[in-house]
Amino acid sequence: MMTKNYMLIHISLFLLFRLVPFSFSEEPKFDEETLKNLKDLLKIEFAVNLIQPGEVSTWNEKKVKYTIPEHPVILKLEGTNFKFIGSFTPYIIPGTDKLMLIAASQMWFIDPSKKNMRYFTYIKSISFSFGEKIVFLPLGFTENYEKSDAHNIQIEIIIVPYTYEEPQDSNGDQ
Amino acid sequence: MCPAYEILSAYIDGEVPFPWNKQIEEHLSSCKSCSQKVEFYRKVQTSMLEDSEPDYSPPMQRIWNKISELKQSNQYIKTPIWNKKISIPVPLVGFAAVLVIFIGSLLVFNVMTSDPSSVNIITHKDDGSMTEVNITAGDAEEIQALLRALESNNTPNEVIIQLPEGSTGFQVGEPELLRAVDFKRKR
Repeated sequence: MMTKNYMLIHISLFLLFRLVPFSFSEEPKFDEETLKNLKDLLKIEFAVNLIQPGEVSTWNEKKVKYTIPEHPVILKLEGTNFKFIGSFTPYIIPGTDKLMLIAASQMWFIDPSKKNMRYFTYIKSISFSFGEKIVFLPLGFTENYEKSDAHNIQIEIIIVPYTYEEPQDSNGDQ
Repeated sequence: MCPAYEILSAYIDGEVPFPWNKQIEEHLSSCKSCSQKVEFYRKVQTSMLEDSEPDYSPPMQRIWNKISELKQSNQYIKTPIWNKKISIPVPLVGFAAVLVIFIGSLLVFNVMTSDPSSVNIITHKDDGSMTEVNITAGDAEEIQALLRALESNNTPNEVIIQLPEGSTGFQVGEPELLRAVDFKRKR
């Protein structure tokens, strides 16, 4: 009787410690039906533009990210002489169809003329409607450039409610 | 000299050995007081031996009847469960202890890894019914997994953009966050 009990305990402990790590590491699966019916998710569209004086967009790239309210999306930009990290946290204002976005950014910037590196931070909030375009200018904005190779960096942000889109074959971002 | 009461009692019970019993007999034949005492003791002994055991069945029956009445009226005092002795095999106790420790560890792990800023994601179908999704407040891992499933990559909530070669920027003013319409109006 005692031997049987000990065997049961050993088997139980073995199963416990063998199966528990799998239960922790297993990635949850979400079927298409679930993804189609998700609500309260937000889709954030980023469009980064390099603009030269005269409103000429020399380069642009778009990215889409999904998040939930109160969860930040991190945007990192790496240029030749600067590195930008921005944290964009959307909040749904209760009782309205409006959003509030808190933008917190850090910028490492090398000024070639002065040969030193500068670091500055910024935080600001703004309220807006779903689908309304927001502009973030991490370096400020001017139309009077003295340096011909300098650009204005303009980040356009649009936040809309999540809608299901058929998965694409590409491995990267949309 | 008359013998003591204990010696006479022992003599009646046949416990006095020879030659002392003969001496007592000789004394009894000449002493009227002692012979009367011995006669009395013998009568008492005879009456005790002749009396039958009293009948205890009526009072015992009355007691049992009373107990039965108390049981029927729920007034019978039962032993509280916390005073009962329970015998549990030692291996079972050990297994229960391991189980309690495991469940406790799970609870502590969940509390430590929970994200208080996360929110519930409620899913609804078009027909108004709800779809069960295992995402609850504090379940940051589930949320991250959901975002990974939506974006088909391993870096949820993070966008890295490498600007083109030679793209330099200069700080020309304070950073600004504003509506696009305000930005156009400002320019």
